[in-house]
Amino acid sequence: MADKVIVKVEAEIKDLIPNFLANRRKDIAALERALVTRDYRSCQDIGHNMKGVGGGYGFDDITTIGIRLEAAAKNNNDEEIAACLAFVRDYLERVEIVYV
Amino acid sequence: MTILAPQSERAPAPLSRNPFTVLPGEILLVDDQEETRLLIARHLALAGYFVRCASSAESALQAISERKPDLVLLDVVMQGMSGLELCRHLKADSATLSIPVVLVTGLDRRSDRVSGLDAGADDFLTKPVDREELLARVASLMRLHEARAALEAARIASEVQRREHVQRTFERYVSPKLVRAILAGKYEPDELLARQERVDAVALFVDLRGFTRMSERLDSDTVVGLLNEFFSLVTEVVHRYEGTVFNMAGDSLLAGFGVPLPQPDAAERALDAAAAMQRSFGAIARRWQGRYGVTAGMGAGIDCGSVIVGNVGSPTYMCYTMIGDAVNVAARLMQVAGSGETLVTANLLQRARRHPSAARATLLEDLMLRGKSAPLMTYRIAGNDT
Repeated sequence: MADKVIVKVEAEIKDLIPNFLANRRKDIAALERALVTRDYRSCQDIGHNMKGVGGGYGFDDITTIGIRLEAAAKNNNDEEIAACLAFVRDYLERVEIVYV
Repeated sequence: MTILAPQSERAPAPLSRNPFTVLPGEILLVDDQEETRLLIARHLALAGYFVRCASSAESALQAISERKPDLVLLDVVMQGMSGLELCRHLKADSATLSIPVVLVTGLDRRSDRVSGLDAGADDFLTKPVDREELLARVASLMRLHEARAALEAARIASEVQRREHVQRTFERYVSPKLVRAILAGKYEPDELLARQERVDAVALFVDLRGFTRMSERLDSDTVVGLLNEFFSLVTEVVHRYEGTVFNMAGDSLLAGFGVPLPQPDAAERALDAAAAMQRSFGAIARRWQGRYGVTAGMGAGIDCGSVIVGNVGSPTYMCYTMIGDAVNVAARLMQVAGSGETLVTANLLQRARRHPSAARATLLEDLMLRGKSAPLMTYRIAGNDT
């Protein structure tokens, strides 16, 4: 079993986390569609949004992957976009939240 | 703390650390991403701010028109009007330019910050937003905004006080039109009163004939009432012709034209004022005759020449006045004038030679006035001639 990824999140925003995670699952679905159709603009927007929102919720890795995704989309790099997609998919399955 | 926002943008009620915290200000948060709005609004609300949310620049403008926030947190990249365009719009409007604007952006190049500064932004936050940095920047700008608002309020209060002082000071002497000009900043009020100077002016002296008899026959309340009616009339006429009331003493009044500000037609104004007073007082005198059985009239004297105007008196009592030969001569002419008559000097009539009353003035024998060494060429303007 893959190792869990522990993410510490402030207790004050606990009720906002389900919505945040749901949006990341939507991002995965949108990214899959955009990759198939080579819609790099959409890939870039998804990456830009993940970059801007991840770290604020305590998910620094989401910000990091967002930066990678946005750059990959700007370069029309299908392979890198696919790698980012795989990372996010895997990340969401392994993430374990600890409220502090 | 409660976040108030349009229904579609409403965030869940936050956990407040202190339910008794006094709200430090109202923030408008503008971002087209709901999860960003939720997060930032939560941090601000927990810090005690009242937060309104808008999902677009357009809805932000609507919110601002309804109530101005103390600070705007503004996303840059949005559908429709961008954050930079909204920032420019707010900073170009005098009603909103003082509202601090913080651009919250994932664009982190130097050129993006320069664009934000050019648009008038007061500060920046880079996404992902760090809570401590967010609260520190917001608090700093709020303090600055409060300080500016306090300074502006103090400035306005001071200006209101100044205007009231000017109005109180001047409305006793000069016409309402001149008071308005002073309040509009056309003239410096302190300078007007402070300067003592020799100027060319016209002095008009008027007094109430029959006053002594009146005060013997009528009770004091009635006498005062009649005197007030006389002074109200002559003062209104002086102001109507934009003259200045310098003195009221007993039953006489001294007015000046061409002071404190030059009037090229000062002589004509004085003649018109005297004629208007004679006309109007004629009707009043008839009424007094009918009601109180007293015979009253008005005598007037007008001269022109060099006078000194300024504050004269002692340290404990001082008044703005006019002194000089023209004033003395006007007073003497007033004393000599019969009831319903206005006496003027040849100098005055020469200045107003094109005035209608000049053609109808009657030359009197040279008058030897008390205190003067040589006789004075004098003219009589009878009744309500104009």
